[in-house]
Amino acid sequence: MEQQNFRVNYDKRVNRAFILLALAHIPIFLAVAWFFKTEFSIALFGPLLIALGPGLSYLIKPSSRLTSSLNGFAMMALSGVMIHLGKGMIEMHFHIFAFMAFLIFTGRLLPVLTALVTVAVHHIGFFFLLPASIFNYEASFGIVLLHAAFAIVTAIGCGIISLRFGAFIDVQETVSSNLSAIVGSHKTSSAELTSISNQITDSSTTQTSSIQESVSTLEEISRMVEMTNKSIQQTEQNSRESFETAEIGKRAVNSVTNSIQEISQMIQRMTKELNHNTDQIQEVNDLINGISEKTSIINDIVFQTKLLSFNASVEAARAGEHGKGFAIVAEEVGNLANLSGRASEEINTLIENSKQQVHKIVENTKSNIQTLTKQSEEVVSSGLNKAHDSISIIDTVVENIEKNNKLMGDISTSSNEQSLGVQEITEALRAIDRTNSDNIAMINQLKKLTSTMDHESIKLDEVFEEIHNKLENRKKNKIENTNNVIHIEEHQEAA
Amino acid sequence: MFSDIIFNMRQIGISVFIFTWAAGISYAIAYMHGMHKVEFKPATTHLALDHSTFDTEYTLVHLLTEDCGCSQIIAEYLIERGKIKDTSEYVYFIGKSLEYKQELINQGFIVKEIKNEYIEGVPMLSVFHRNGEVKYSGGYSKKIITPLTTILDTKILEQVQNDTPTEQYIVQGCATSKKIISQIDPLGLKYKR
Repeated sequence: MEQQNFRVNYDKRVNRAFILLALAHIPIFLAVAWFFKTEFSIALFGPLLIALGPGLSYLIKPSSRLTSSLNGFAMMALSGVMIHLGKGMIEMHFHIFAFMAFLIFTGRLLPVLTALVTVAVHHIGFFFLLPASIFNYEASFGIVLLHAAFAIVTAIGCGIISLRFGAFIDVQETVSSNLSAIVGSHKTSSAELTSISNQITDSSTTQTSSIQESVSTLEEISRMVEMTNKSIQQTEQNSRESFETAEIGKRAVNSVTNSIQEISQMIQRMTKELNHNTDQIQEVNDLINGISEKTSIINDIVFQTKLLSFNASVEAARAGEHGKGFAIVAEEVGNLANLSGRASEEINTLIENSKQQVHKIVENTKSNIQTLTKQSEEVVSSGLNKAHDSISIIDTVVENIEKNNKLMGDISTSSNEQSLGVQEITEALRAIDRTNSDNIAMINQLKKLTSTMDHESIKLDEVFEEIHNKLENRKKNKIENTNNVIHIEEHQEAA
Repeated sequence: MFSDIIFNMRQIGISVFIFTWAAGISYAIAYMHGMHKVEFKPATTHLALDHSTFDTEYTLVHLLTEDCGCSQIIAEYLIERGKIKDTSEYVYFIGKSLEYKQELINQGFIVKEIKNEYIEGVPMLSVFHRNGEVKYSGGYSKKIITPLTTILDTKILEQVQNDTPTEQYIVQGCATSKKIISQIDPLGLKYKR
């Protein structure tokens, strides 16, 4: 449809151009008429009358083939007028061939054939009607045929070229309609491609930056994970050492417990010993009590002695002189008894004091032993309890350490796995980074290609415009370009 | 139906017009061409010349008409050339000569205006000997007279003077005979009636 429109427009333009060309003969004909001193009236009205036929046909249907054919006839008629105004100069006949060639611009065979038939009929008819005057020499019919042959050959050449030109017009339309759309589409695609490439480049650059940051962060994380691993290992080591220490502590506490138990036993033994000592002291006390009893016996004896001494003194005093000696003895004995009594009292005092002291010692010792024993027992008990508590705590600590060790082992394993994961992610990101770099390189290549495409698109557009400018008038070209732009814009909007 | 009839009538009208137009143009052009191709008979015998008055050995008579382009070209040529030495040259205008007469006289030509009764066409050249013999009567060139045509009158005179065979050139140009004019220009495209 568009092609037909183009063809119609082209026919219209060419038909109009030929009519204007016919009218453009007027000044030339006037000049020729002036030079050859022929009729100005024919020079003036001849082209007008000749242009009347195709002009009327043009007004009825501008693009019709009839108008083209009438133009073919008109061109030959103008040749006839030209020949007349040139006083039949043979050189003026070149107008026939020149304008038969001009008819190529119609891109149709019919106008050329019309021109050929017009010339042939004119010459052959003229030969038969005015045989002596067709040429300014006596020409035979063979000469006429020779002229006709040249006209036919010219017409064949013009016809072939005209047909080819017609095909070229069709191709030009194809170029005009399709290439324009293709160029427009190409330009749009190229622009979109450039835009997309730029966007991809920006995204890739951002992605690369992000990946590099991620790689950097992951490397930092990797270092931190390694540090964590080391810390975990150190912690594990510490934990093992703590475990061992706890074990040692446990053993020490056990040893302490044992020692406390031994102390307790020793305290018990010592208590026994002390009790035994106390018993022995008690026995000493009993002995002292025995001594004290003996001392009272002595005191009884002293008392009885004294009593005897006294009796003796009394008897010695009755015995008078004979009893004097005895009285003395009895006195002495009484003195001794006094002495013994005092000594016994002193002993008794001492014994009492000793008994009291021993008793006090025993009591104190017992009390102290009891206190000490009690305290020892409490201390031992407390120590044992604390030892047990310590053992329990240590056991808990050991258990926790074991748990910690296990957790640390798990953490270490996880950390190792995490480290491996981070390494793998880092490697993956590096691979992505490399791929991204490759992609950026490819995108840059793509951008270069897009730029080349843009350049070629512009060149293609210029070539297309040049073709348009060469084959079409500028006004029409501008209108069609505007239409093309509108068409492309509509296409883009639709897209 | 009515529109079809209108359309057909219009088509017929267009066809008739085109046919008439093409035929008319062809006819007119054919006659225009015919105007140039008519060969006129030399008509020296009809010139009222008294050879006893010839004071040079050879006398050239140029028969022209001012309405004819070919005659105008010859007239201008003669003005430019001037009279040939030791010859007498007459320029006979059929009808009035308003444009060239004085200039031709100034150049030494004897100009006369005559009425046409028998002469078919111009421009025509005649060369007379002093004794009244017509040495040459015909056209000026083997081709129709144009500003580009080589006028051969001096060559013809030379040949006559040397008594060498002279080619007879046909008279082509403008008809002066009413009879011939009505034959070659029935449409009145060229000749005034």
